[in-house]
Amino acid sequence: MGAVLKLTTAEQTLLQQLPKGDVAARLREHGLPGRRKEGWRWSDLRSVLKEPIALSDPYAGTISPTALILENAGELIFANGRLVGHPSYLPPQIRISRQSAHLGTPGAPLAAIASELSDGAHIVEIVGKLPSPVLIRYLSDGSGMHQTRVQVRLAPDTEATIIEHHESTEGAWLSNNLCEFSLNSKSHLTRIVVQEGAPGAIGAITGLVMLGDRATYTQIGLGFGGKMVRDETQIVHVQRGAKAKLSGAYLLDDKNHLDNTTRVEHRAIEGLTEELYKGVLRGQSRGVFQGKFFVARDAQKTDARMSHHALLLSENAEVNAKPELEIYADDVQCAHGNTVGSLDENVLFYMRQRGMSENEARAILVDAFVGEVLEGIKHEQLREQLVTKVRDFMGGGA
Amino acid sequence: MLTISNLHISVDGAEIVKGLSLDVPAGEVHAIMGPNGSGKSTLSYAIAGRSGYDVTKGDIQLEKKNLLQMEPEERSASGLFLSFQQPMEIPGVGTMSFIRTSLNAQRKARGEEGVSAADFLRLVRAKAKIVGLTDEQLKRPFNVGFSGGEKKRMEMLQMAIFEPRFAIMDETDSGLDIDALKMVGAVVNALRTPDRGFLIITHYQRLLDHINPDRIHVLADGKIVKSGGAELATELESDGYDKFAGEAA
Repeated sequence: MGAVLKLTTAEQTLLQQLPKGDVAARLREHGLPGRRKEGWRWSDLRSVLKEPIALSDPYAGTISPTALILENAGELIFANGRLVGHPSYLPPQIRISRQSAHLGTPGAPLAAIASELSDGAHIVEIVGKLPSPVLIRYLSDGSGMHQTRVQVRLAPDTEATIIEHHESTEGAWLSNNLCEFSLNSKSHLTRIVVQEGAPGAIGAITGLVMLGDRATYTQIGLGFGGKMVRDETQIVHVQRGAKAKLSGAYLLDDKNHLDNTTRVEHRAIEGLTEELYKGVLRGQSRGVFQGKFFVARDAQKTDARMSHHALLLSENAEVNAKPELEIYADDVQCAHGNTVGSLDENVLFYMRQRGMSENEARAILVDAFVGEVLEGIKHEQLREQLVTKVRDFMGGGA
Repeated sequence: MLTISNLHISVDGAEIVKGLSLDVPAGEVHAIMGPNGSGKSTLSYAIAGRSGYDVTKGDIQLEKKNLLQMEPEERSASGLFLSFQQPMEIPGVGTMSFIRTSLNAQRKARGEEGVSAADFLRLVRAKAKIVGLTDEQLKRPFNVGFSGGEKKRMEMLQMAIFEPRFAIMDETDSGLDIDALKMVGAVVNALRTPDRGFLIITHYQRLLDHINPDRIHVLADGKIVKSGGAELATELESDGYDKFAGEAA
C-alpha cells in the first residue's frame, strides 16, 4: 500500500461537492492534476488552487451584447455555468435540448469533474448546412467554480461553424467547460475558440472530438491565458478518411499562463491531421504546448503533421513544449517541428531603416507570425476582430 | 551634404573603421572601393544606425544634422536610405503593404500626409516597371523566395519610391547581370539632382561604368587611403588593391 495522499483544502471542499462514484474516488486517490501527474508537469493546478472551492453564485455582471460582433449568428450564453435566457437567432437546422441522463465520463480529469458536477448536458443537434455561425459565449465572474457540458452532434453531410468565446470580467473563478463534438460521416465543423481571461482567472476548456467517416474538423484558437488556463483538445479519428486541422495562436503577457494540450488519436485508416500552434510571450508569462499523435496499428495511411513555434519578446517569459509521436502502424507519414526564438534583430533593423519605429516593426512581425493561424478563419468579420485583438496586444508596448 | 569627420567604429570591441573623413557635397555621387574586410559595410551600417556598430569617436552629419543622435527610423525620415547588401525576407508581410507602411512612416515623421492606396498603387506600378519587378512578384510576401538579383531590384524599387535625399548603396551590384546593372544605373541617374547625394560601395568598376561617379575613394584597413576622379576605378581594376593594403599599414 502506498501512502494516502493528503488532500489540499481545495480538494477536500471539491470532494464534498462531488457525488459518490469513480470521479470522487479518483480525486480522493490522486488529487487534482499537478506537476506530478503525467501531462500536467508544467501546469500545476494543484498548487495554484489553494482556497476552499465553492460553487459560483449566479453571474453578477451585465451581459454585454457586443463581445464579438457577428451578424446573423445564433447565440447561446452560459454565465457562470448557467444557460442564460433563450438561445437567439437559431436557424431551423439546430435543435437544443437538455439531457439529464448520464452521458459517460471522459478520461481527462477536469472534464470528468465537469461532467459530474454539471446538471446534465446541453445537446446541440445540427442537421443540414448552417447558413451562419453559432456563437457560444461562456462568461465568468466572481469567485467559486462553475462548469458546463455541451455536446454538439452533427448529422451526416452537415456543415456548421461554432464560435466559442470564453470571456471573463475580473475575478478569481474556476471555470470548467467540457465541449464535446461528434461528427457523423461527411460532416464539416469549424470550431473557433477565443479565450480571454482576467489575470486571476483559472479555467479549463476541454474539447473532445470524434470524427466519423470522411468528416472534416477545423479548429482555430486564439488564447490570452489567465492565472492558469488549460485548453485541451482530444481528437479521435474513429472512422476512415477524416481530416482534422487543429491550430491555435496564443498571446501571453504579465504573469499569464496558458497550456495548450492536444492529443490526436488515429484509429482508422487514411486519416489526415495538420496541427499548427504559434505563441507570442511577453512579461513573465508562461506558455505550455503539449502535442501528441497516437497512431493505432490499424490506422494505416495516416498523414499527421504537427508544428509549434513560439516567439519570446522578453527575457522572463518561458515556453515549455513537448511534441510527441506514438506510432504503431507502419505505413504512415508523421512529422513534428518545434521552435522557440525571438524576433530577428536583422529584420527589425531593416524595417527601422525603412522608417518604421521599433514598436511598429515588432507589431507588424507579430501580426505576420500569428497571421498564419488566423488567416484560416474564413468568416471575415470575425477574423478582422481577432486580428484587432492581436494588434491591441502589441499596442500595449513591446 | 554628408560629412563624416574622423570616424572610428568598433564592432564587438574590435576597431574596424579607424579615423575616416569624407565629404559628399549635394548633387554628387561618390564611390568607395576597397578589398574585403576594409570596413565598407561597417561604415554603411554605422551611418544608418545599426546597434552593435559603436562609433567611439568622430561625427556623421547629414545636411548639418547630427545622425549619431538619431534612431535608425529618424535617420530614414531625414532622407537617408541604405540599399542592403543582403536584403531581408519578411514572411507573412505583403510587399505592397511593407513599402507603403515604410513610405507613410517616413512621411508622417516629416509631418507630411500619407499616400493613399490608389496613389501608391500607381506609383509602385510605374517604378516596378523601371526596376523589372512583375505584379505577381509584388503580390508575394516581402522578398520571400526571391533570388539575390530580385532582392536587389526590390531595394532599387524602394529607393525609387522613397526618393531619399541621400542613398548609400552597399554592393548593390553584387550578383547582378549586365541588364540589371544598367537598371541600377538608370535608377541612380534618374534620382541624380542637385539636392541629392549618393555613396556607392563596390568592389568593381562595372557598376561605375553606368553611373560615372564624381569621386572615388579607396578604403583600406578602416581609412581612406586615396581619392580621385572616375579614372581611379580603371586604375584599381587593372592594378588591384594590393598596393593600398601596404599604404594603410
